[in-house]
Amino acid sequence: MMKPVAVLSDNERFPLLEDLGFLKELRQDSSAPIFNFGSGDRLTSEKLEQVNAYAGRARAQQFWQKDSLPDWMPEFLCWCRATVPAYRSYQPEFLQMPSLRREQIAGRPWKYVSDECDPDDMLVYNTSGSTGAPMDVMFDAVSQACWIAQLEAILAADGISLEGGAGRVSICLVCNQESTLTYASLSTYLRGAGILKINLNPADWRKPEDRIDYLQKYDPEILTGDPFTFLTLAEMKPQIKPKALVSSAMTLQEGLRRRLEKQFGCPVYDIYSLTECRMIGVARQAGVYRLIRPDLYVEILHADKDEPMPIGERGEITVTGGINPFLPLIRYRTGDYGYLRHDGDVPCLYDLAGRAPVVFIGGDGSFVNNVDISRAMCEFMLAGFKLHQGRDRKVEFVGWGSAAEEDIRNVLTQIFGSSSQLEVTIEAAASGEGKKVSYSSEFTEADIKK
Amino acid sequence: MTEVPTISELIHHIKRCPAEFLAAPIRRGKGEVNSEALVNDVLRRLLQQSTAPGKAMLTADRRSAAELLLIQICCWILTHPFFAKIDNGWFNEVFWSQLATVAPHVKSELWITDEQRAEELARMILKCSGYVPAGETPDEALDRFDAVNTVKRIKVIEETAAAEERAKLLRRQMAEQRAREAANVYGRE
Repeated sequence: MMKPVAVLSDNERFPLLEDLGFLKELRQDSSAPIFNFGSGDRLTSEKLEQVNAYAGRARAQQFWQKDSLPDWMPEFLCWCRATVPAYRSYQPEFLQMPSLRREQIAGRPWKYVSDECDPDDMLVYNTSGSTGAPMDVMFDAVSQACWIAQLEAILAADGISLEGGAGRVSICLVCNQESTLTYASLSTYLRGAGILKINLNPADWRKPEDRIDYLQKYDPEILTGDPFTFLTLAEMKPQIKPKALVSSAMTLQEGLRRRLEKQFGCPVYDIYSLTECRMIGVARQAGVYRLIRPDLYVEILHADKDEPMPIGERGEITVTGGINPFLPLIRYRTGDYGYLRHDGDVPCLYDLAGRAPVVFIGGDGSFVNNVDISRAMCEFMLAGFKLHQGRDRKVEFVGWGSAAEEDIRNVLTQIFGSSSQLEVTIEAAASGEGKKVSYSSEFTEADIKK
Repeated sequence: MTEVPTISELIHHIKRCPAEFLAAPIRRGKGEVNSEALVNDVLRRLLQQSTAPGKAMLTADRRSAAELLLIQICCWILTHPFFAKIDNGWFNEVFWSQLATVAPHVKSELWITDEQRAEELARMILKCSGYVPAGETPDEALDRFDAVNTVKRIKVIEETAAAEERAKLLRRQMAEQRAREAANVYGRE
């Protein structure tokens, strides 16, 4: 996949921040990683005002009542039908509206952009497709920055708040991949606080020990990442005092949560989120995800019919609403399953399935992140693929589409190492069934710790 | 009570339009038919005042040939006995301006040779006169007029073209933005 190019000046990245001294410090620190990218939040005063207004609503945490639709729904649906091409022909009644699948958006994403959007505000992210086919998702700077406001709403429930301000790193997104974009940045919303995206891969640093030194020096308020990355980080034993760890992308297992909480002395949140709408729910204990977005209505639909399941019965998690005018969602099927029940005033998702962590082991015994596989497979003309690893470390790959088996084998050899045993099969695109991308493995987290 | 004709009856009447009504209107000294005189003759006939002074001023030179031809065709339509039985106050500027809107989009002879255009004209005239075709409810009549309405058809085409233009713009922007930095990402999805 082609990597995007950093083209903006720092002033364009932070139109409202006058003092960029802290940004330079983060970049030029002697223990800093070799950052390969640049990024900003691109908030103008008008956009910042919108983020602040959203933060107010997020803080209130006023959810819809059990058995009823949110107050904002009629106006939202009306706006969608009036300004979004894909929704123009929809019936006015919410329950008469058809559900929407990822493939529909992936094929014609521009059909879901409101006529009110200024194309100049468009930002594009490519999802690597860890649980589905890769897809371009459009956003604007406001909906992107609102992630922090959503995080604040989660933290507030436990009495935690972000200090922010220049000189303090508030959020550090930690990755552990063969390659990923890395940068030091700031948050206008958090009054110039530092934002980092780093990769624990030693190849991204001048010296391997810089990874710990840098983290210890800037001691971020919040660390975000996936469970495997946090496991790797925990084993490096940095002496840091984060206020919370925020895990996402796949389910956090209870054992790992306890270990991380004990080691870092802070709560560990397991977030259920999608690139299409960002955060949906948060779990502080295994299996119960409290919804965190009053602006995102969640219903449970029958797998094959556009009918809501009775309260407490399992079905496909489906979302409506959100704050992204480049992709307002109406009955978007997430591909994940669970059931919904109100816990007091707050709706909660139970028995969530679809994001089970999958552990792959390379030829040398090291952990292989499936994000690297998804990214590499974007190069090929595949409608989908499945990859399974057995206890003997043998990797079986079946792809649907047109690609040379030899090319796939070469890419997988790079990822899993030259000593790994690979079986690659390519079949016609039409023969692929079920999920477009699926990973399975006979290994568990316990196997990486060894 | 005045008996309103059915749409088929009016279409049949329109299709029988004599060739003289399609002769070139006189504009800037050239042409065969004085459209204004024709309109005033029709009005006198409807009012049953054969010597009344002309009421309609067309200023033919300021109108297109297509519009004047459509006015001439309407003059033929008004010879149907139904129109002599009803009030003719609707035969005014509002009516003329509708003809001016639609005329440039249709080849003149199609109004009398093409079934759909003849139906459109029949429905437009009945609607302007405030009557519903025999055998139809007001809603049915409106729906059926919408289905053949040239102005609406053109609006749909224009809207489709605008939507295509917007989609093209968004796709171009997507391709450009995909290759560029976006904004801070704070967590994994």
